[in-house]
Amino acid sequence: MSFFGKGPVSGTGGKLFATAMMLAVCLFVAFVAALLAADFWYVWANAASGTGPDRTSLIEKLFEKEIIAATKLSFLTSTAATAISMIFAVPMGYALSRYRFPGNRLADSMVDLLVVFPPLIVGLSLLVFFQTPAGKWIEANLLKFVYQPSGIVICQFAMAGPLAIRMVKTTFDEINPRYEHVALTLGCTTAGAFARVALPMARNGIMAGAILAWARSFGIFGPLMVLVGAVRMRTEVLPTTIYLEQSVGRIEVALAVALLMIALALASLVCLRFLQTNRAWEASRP
Amino acid sequence: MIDIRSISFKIGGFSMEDLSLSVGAKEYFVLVGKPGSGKTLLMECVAGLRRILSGTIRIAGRDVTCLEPRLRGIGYVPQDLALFPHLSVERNIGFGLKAMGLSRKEASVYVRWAADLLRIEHLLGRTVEGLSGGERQRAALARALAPRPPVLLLDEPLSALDEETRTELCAEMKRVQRETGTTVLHICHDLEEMSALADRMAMICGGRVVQVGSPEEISRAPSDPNVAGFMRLGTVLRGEAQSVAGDVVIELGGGLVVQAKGRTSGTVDFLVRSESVLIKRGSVTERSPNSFAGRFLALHRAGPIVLADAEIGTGTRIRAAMLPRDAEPLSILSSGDPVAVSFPPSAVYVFPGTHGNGAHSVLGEPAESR
Repeated sequence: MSFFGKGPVSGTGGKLFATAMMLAVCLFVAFVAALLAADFWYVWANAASGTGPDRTSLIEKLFEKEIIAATKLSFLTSTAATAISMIFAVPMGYALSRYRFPGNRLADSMVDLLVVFPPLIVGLSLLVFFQTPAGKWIEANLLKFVYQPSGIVICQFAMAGPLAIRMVKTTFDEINPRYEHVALTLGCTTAGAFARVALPMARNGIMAGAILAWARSFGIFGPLMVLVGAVRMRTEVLPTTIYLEQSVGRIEVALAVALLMIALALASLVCLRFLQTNRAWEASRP
Repeated sequence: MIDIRSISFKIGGFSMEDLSLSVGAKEYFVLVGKPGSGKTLLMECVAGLRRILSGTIRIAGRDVTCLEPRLRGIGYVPQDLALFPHLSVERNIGFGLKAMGLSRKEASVYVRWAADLLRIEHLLGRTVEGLSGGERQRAALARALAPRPPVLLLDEPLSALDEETRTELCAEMKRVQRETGTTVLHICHDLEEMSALADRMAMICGGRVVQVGSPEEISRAPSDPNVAGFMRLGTVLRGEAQSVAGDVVIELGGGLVVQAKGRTSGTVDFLVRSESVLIKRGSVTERSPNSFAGRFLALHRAGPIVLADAEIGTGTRIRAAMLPRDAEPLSILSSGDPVAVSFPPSAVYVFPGTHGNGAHSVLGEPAESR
């Protein structure tokens, strides 16, 4: 079905219907484009009119030590959170996709629950958890999280992990278990069939899950404010920088950081689309 | 070689109770049945891909009921072939050899042997994507054969192929089976495929084995209407039988009476073999047994023969399998034109078993099979 002439022959009613559908597409695309354009326009217009910092000083500000530290911490914590997310996502996605066990649906719903949880509540829940005896024991004996950089990682994991699990589970769902069955008859153990067949076939989906998790980790802000606060040079990541800069009236700097984050998000999206295109064969369910 | 004893299995609303089946060594055994009859589930039980509730499965004299698939000594080709898309043809074929722990050099010998056997040496460097249906089928077969399993399980591997390729591959598979001496359990629902391959066959229906034997034996004496239907032996009818002067007279209702050989009584299902039915233009001139006035319905070409359908009485449809030259006079008829339908009593085969009123049946001599 195509809007521009290649689909079935349609009358006036069909054309009106298609136009209504396409109107929604156009309005949404225009909405997102307008947001992006507004950011660019604000930074550029202020630089050109002299009411804000010029382009050179704007770029210099991006290299201030606070922003560089925040960038480093963002990269580090996002990568750590993504790694932890994938350590859970691969086995959990596989188990939820392949095994039928009591509580399967409950576990599946728990994944979705964190996806739909308001971010602030995730932060609040984590803060409350670390006030419980179990949480206090963890903080006393294992690792401190509250107002610590490690707290950033656990917030990012709580927000990004479910997305990665969902993506990996969907990938395994799309791979027919028959491939593994054949591997079993060809001499593989269950673990061997997973490692030699399911895992390589799910490779692109797993990478897409990791990119999604990384992009999500990179951008979270709400839970961080509750669990780790916004301490410069300590628990400051790029979203926190945007918040801190705009709270002291340096909107242009906040926007410049925002544009940097948008560029990284767009790069992630391009990688994601590329991997999803190359997942076509994974979906060949026999 | 494969000995299935009293196995029971249940999945959803489908169950298999007390099913037994034996496949001899080096035998090409074909399992046939309608979709949903349980053929694939039975094969998956033999492969160890599904757990059975009770019973035993022995392969090459070894009880494999509780063994993992990898320890059963089987090769398996599923309906969709399931060639690994992330591996080349060569690595697909060598997959099982690597799992067995063979070195690359040793594995290469077996891969070449399997590729040579299936005549796909030129495809070894190719990826699975882009192979034709026939090439994929050969590659899947080579992958299953490379570890030299004593038993090969094939689940409708030819179903997605065109008729010409299917015919060619049937001959290839039979050749490969003879050359390797592998015992094959093959599922299909195509009569031509079964005829080309089977040393023996079994019909499975609703999770139960209905009949086992060579295709010739089963054609000669099908155990029930389902078997006769699959084998396309003719028209299955039901009537009230009684023995009269050494023969059987079966009343179909509407004044139709069919004579058959043997002795039986009560409600019976019977087969009128298509190859013995004659349909002629015009009205009935002779008053011999099993001669009926009927109406012409249609002609269908089925390979080298022609199938002619006619109706006798009210709604009793009879099919005749005729040579094209015998069917020639019928080609000018329109639906509803009068025809004479006749068949000898020896063309009537009464199925064993009883119906309705518990009457007994003693089979007459089976009619000659084609």
